[in-house]
Amino acid sequence: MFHLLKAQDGKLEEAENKELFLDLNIDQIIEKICDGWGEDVKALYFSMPLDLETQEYRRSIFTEIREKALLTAFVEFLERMRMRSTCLERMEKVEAKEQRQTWFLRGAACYVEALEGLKAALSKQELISKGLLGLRETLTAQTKEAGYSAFFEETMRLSKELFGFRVLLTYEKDRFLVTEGTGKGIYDAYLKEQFPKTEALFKSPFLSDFDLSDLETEILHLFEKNHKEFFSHLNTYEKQWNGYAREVILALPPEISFYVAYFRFLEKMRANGFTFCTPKISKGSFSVLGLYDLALAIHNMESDREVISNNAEYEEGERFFVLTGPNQGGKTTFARSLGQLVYFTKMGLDVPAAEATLPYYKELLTHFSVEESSDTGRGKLMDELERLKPMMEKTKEEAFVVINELFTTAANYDACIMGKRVLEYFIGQGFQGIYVTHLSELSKACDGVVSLRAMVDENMTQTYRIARSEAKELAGAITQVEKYGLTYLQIKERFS
Amino acid sequence: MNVKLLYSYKDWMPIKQYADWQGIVKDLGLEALFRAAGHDSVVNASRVVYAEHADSFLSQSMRRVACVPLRTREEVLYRQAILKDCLRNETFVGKLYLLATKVLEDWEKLGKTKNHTGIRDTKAELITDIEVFRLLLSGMESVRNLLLENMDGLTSKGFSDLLERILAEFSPERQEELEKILQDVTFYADSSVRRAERNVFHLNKPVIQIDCGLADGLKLGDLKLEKLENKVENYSNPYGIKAKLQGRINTMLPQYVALYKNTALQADAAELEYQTVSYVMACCGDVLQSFGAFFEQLRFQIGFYLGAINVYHQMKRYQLEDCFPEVGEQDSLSYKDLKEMVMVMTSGAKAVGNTGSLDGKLLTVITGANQGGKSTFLRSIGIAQIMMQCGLMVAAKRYQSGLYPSFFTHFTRREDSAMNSGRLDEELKRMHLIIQRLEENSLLLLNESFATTTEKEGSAIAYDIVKALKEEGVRILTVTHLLSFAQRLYEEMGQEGTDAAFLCAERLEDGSRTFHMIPHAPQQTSFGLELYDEILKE
Repeated sequence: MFHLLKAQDGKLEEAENKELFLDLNIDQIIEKICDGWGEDVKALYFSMPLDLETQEYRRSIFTEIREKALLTAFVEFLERMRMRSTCLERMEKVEAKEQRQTWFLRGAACYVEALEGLKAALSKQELISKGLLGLRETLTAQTKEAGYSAFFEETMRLSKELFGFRVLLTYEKDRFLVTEGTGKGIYDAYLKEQFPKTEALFKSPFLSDFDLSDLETEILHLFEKNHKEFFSHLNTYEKQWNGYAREVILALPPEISFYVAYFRFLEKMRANGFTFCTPKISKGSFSVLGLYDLALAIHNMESDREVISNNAEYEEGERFFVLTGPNQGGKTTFARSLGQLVYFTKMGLDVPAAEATLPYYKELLTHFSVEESSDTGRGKLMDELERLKPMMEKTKEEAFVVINELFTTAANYDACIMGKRVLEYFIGQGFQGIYVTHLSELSKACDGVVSLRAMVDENMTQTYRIARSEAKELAGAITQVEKYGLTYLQIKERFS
Repeated sequence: MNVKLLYSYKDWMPIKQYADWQGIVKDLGLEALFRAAGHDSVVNASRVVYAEHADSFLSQSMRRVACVPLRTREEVLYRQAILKDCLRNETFVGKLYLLATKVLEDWEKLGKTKNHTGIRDTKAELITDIEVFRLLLSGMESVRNLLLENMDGLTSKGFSDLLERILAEFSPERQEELEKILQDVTFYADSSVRRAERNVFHLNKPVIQIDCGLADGLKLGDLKLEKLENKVENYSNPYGIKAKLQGRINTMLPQYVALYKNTALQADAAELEYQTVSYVMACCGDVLQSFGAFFEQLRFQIGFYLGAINVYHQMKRYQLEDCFPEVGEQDSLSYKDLKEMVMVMTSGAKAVGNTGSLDGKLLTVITGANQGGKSTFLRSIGIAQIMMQCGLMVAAKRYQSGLYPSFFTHFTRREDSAMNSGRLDEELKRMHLIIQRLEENSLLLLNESFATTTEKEGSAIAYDIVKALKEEGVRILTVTHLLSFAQRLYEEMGQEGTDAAFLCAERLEDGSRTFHMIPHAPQQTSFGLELYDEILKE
């Protein structure tokens, strides 16, 4: 069966390492992306494809979907399919036969409109991506099935008639007169004239229940008498077209939502000044500019705080970042942002950076120690080693590794040796990654290691900038006046 | 609808306040001004006396209006013209304030709900909304009439524009249209049986016509209101023969759904009535809200002027002369018989007026003997400036100045002074915050700043700051005991024709003080050294 999320037929991989999403705060990002999109869409974000083909299949779809006409068509498709689901839910809920059949008709109409609308939009575009070409083919095949055109015409005719019905109620002297309506809204027009800005809606009081109220039942009885033919057609229609929906169409909404949700999310983030780019895949080169932690960006956006972005690059022969620096200096944030970069690249989506070129990684491995744990000594060390074990299995290949503060409970000397071994192993496997540690010895552990530091400014305040150079510490007493920037030169500086 | 009595172009909004309003109020003692605004004055045996009763709302209005500086000459003139009108028409101002207050209080009693656009929760709330609508309509009518009656005595643009706006947005025709809608929903608010004459009873009944679609599962949807009317019908007892007969007939007519003896249908009909009226009231929501906001603004804005009238009376009571200040060139500052009215109003003391001109003087350094009136003079400038910048009169025969929306005070209160680094740190921090928030057209009043450290150190700090800020165009008036600081400035800019002025508290040969500030080089016999000794000995 055709899929928009997978290049080949088959199921998506289940996420094997749930901790990865927690370690990198990707779970928070997914929450935000999928806000209002439902659990089935969210689940798709927790499944990372392994193969490069799928990654690129998705990327080309996501690149193409930005085309405004296409995006609109996809949103409309989703809207109609959602409407259809709503109609089916209502159909299950109501008792009166006529009501049920009406909802069936409306659901079928949504399906037909969704299908036709998307097909028409795709036909108008010059498509490039394999995924969208496949989608167009699939939709066209659907409309060419035997019986489809009869179904299409009958659906449209009946639903047009249904939408044309109007009934006029005149309530006076404790009784309702029921006649054919015209939908003029004379008093509405008067109100509109008096209050041009009003957005008040005149809603039926009987909306809380999908079944008919007593008054509505009585009104329908009077109305039905004059429209017998319609209701008998509706009866035959339901019986004839009961099984109209096709599985391949029904499977589309979550997959399309996967792309649209991300696109909407990017729009929101971009409006707040955050940059995203489509990553380039290039064997053997890793270079990223303006990379930031997307989870932190979401968080800070709500509190209107700035997010620092950083650059990262492996030069010739370099394989692993070892990042040291003061506490709360942005080390973990930087490590997370690298992990997120790899994750979104693997998902075939845009990444939170200004520019990014990176190789294809089959695996993304993470290991974050839980800070401030009351657990001390051997217990925690055991736990850490046990979590490390699967990462060091022979089956892993082409991995990007994010390690945050390993062996914090071990003695310094031991920790250095163990850390060195871990680094040597991963580098030996040809993996790349980042190792955040407070052990500065590890920054010269072995070949292929790049030493990075979280920088501070002259006041020893964290800048959250990560750089290759060693930070110099400014010493010396600062007078109170200087502290508040009140010397002559400082004030002049403040005004310039 | 906007009131626009504070600005010609907008209603009141608490934005762009003085950056350090709390500090200004504290340093200049402005609480006394706000208190005066809240006290009505009464004339008793040809003497003006303080009324016992205080209206805290008036104080609040004064406080809140004063904390947002006016920024242009036009804004100041606009308010001054209205205030002059108000001083000439005190009774009218009082009436208008009472009227707005009454409407808001009545509204409060009915249960003032914030949201007028949503669907009502209960029948009672909906009825309340109808009553609030009535209340606001009649309130608007009263405001219109009050303005019309008094228009002859009102010459300011503020009041004439207000009347014009009311006549445009709440014309008698508009009022009639709104009242018609109120009339159409009368049946809902007033459903009691009334006796019209002997054996004849009347009852309000609705006529509602609704056009609906059926596409949503054959339920009534896409409702359109065709007709809504209140119909006064002759009441007939529902248990009487006549009603029964009519009800029975209804149930037999095939084109009708009759409610007779069917409680379920009656309940549905009642819901439909509720929803209809609710919808109509929601349509009125914006207008209702705008009238409501109008009264809130009216009470607040006219409250400011009533407060100003009260302040004026207080000034008269203390025999303080007043004038409306003139907005001059940005670097102007001149005053005639300027008095510190807060001190007068709080202590009842007689004040000495100061006369002088600091036109073109970016920096004014005030030195001299203690208890010579230096701080009082500095405060009198500050108070006048704040009052001018909110459109009030000031306690002087003449006052002219530029406008300084970026106004700061940095006062060291003597009682807080102590030689410890904590105090200096606090002073430096305050100065740092001030510099951080300085904008264009800044005025900074320094009162004995950096007296919390040694003379030498304090002088060095003060010199650096004052010199740098002056060069950046900040107007500074500083009262100081730091003699080396003052002398260093004097050596640099003491000559004629610079943009610095050096004032001194006058001291006559016999040592007595006149409390006048006169141009003079920084005085040797300053209290600074004595202070220095005094502090060091502690």
